[in-house]
Amino acid sequence: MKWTSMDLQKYDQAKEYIDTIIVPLAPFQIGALEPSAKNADQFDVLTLFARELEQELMGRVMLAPTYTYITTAEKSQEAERMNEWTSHFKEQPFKQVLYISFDPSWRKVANDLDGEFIWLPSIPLKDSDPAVVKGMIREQTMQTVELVKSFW
Amino acid sequence: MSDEKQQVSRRQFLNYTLTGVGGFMAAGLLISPVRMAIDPVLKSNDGGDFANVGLEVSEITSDPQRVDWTIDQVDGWYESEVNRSAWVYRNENDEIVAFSPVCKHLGCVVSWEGNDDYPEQYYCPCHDGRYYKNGVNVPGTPPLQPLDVYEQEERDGMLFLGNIKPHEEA
Ligand code: FES
Repeated sequence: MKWTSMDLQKYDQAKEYIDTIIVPLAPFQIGALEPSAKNADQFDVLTLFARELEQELMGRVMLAPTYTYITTAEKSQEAERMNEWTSHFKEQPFKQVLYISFDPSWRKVANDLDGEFIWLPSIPLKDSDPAVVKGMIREQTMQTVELVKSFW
Repeated sequence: MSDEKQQVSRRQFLNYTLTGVGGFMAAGLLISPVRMAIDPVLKSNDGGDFANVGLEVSEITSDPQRVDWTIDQVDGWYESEVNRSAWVYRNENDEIVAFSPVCKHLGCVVSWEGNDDYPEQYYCPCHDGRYYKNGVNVPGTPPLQPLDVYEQEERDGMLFLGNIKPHEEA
């Protein structure tokens, strides 16, 4: 399920079946061209990836809107805010709150998070063939599906 | 007299205009979702509603195999592709059948023999939904309907799949 009015109606009817929420985490900045563009590309890939993951598991998973933060943000502060999201989700109740991101810096604070953090190795976009990128996203999706299943 | 006439016609004019605008807007509202649904399909296919899924008909056996293909929309590389997949096999009457992998419970993607405990069945990882090889849901599992079926045809030895239909009509 996605966070759309249509899917929320379905969710409302079937809450007991949808016990997992997935939150993509994406850094962003608008500054020096190269790092900014890289963040923007990764944001796109993360969005695509999250959508594919949702497509595979939509009957049990809600995909939350992407949580964005400034690249240089203090992660411990962000973690506090994410924990507020997590407790909000758990009220529903969602049993599993899963965060997915290409940003490796979350790994350092993963223990402070009330949800589970899944780190994805980033996919290089620049100058790659779209078909190759698609294939990589597909592969990563299937691997992550397995990982999500292991939480069930 | 002439004043009244003019007023009437002005009112009529306004009426027409308002109806016109209203009608136009309603038409717009009606058309756009339909177009959104249809457009990717229209753009994707070289020949009608069917897409080449990259599988030779001669390679289809009684063992279901998964095929994946995409439907193209040409505007930028990412927003532009819709993923499709199917489980294809030859049934006991030697007919080719292509199932949609979308679980009829809440829409997760099912896999043939996706769980070792249930050989010879489709398995849905989300709530243990199951289907027999012929696509019929196993009673007592969450799905209440059989898997949907793709319309299919053979062109030059290749399998082409089209629209998705409920199991009964196939
Ligand atoms: S979505 Fe397949 S069993 Fe619930």
